[in-house]
Amino acid sequence: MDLPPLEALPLTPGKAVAVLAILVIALLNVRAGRRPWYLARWEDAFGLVGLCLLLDGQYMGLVDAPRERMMGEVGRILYVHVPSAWLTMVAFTLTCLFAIGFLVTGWRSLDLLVESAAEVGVALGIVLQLTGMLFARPTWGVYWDWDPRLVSTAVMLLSFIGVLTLRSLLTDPDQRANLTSAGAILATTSMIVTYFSVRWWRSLHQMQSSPDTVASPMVLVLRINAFAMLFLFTWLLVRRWRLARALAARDEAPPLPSAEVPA
Amino acid sequence: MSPDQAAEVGSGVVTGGWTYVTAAYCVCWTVLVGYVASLWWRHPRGEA
Repeated sequence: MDLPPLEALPLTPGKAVAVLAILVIALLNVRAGRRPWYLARWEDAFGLVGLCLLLDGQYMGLVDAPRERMMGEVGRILYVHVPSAWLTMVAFTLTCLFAIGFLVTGWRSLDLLVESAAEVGVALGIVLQLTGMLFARPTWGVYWDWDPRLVSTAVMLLSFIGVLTLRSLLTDPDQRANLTSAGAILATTSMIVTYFSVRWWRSLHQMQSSPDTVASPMVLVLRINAFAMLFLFTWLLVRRWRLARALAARDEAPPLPSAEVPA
Repeated sequence: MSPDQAAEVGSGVVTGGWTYVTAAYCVCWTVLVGYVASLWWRHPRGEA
């Protein structure tokens, strides 16, 4: 891959925030001898880098990237819509792998990761669905159409929402873990249908976007936004897993003895 | 509509649409910030 020369990359808010954040972190480390609260955990570094990349990538998407040849300015939605689609797929693929891992090993951490990856995937899927609708209105003339890609994406999203809803309704930990994993594997079939829908049924939605299908000036912007989403996804996944662990520990903790009032 | 945009009408190029672009970027930030806030809000108090 030919990297662009450094001077070709403009100074954007993302880079400015990144440089400032690094300076502030270094200063706080030196002065206080401990890490600041927003770097309390190793994954917070992923969140910080993801935030900077997102600011950078979205600024480039709105300002620096050229207009799309046929979609004009509306083509800039691509830099939000496509990375969210990629990371939604990554999240649900990981959900399936964690689910298989749990059913094979029975490790409780994997069960918590199934829940976490599915939930983060649903959040990114909501971004995907809503930005897709906003993309569709000016290009297709409608917010929604019963297009195979749109329908399969909605079914995929609803399937994983269903798995999470089912999980929240079950109280027995073993039953909850087993049914969540089984449901997640079942829901992943809808993701496979979603991915291949544009190949199986050629309809309104275009084929999958990749660096090979967009003009070279758009590739860098698309990559920065994709990496931003990847870093943010990693941060959200690990943070959500820590939350699931904390909630599980709270639920499994023995009840505190009731306070006795002296006579 | 600017003269450049007017020239594009009928050529198959989508003109305008900044409202949708802005809305899409806002949706992205709203969902992400909302989800991060929900993680913070759901965390048991008194734990890291």
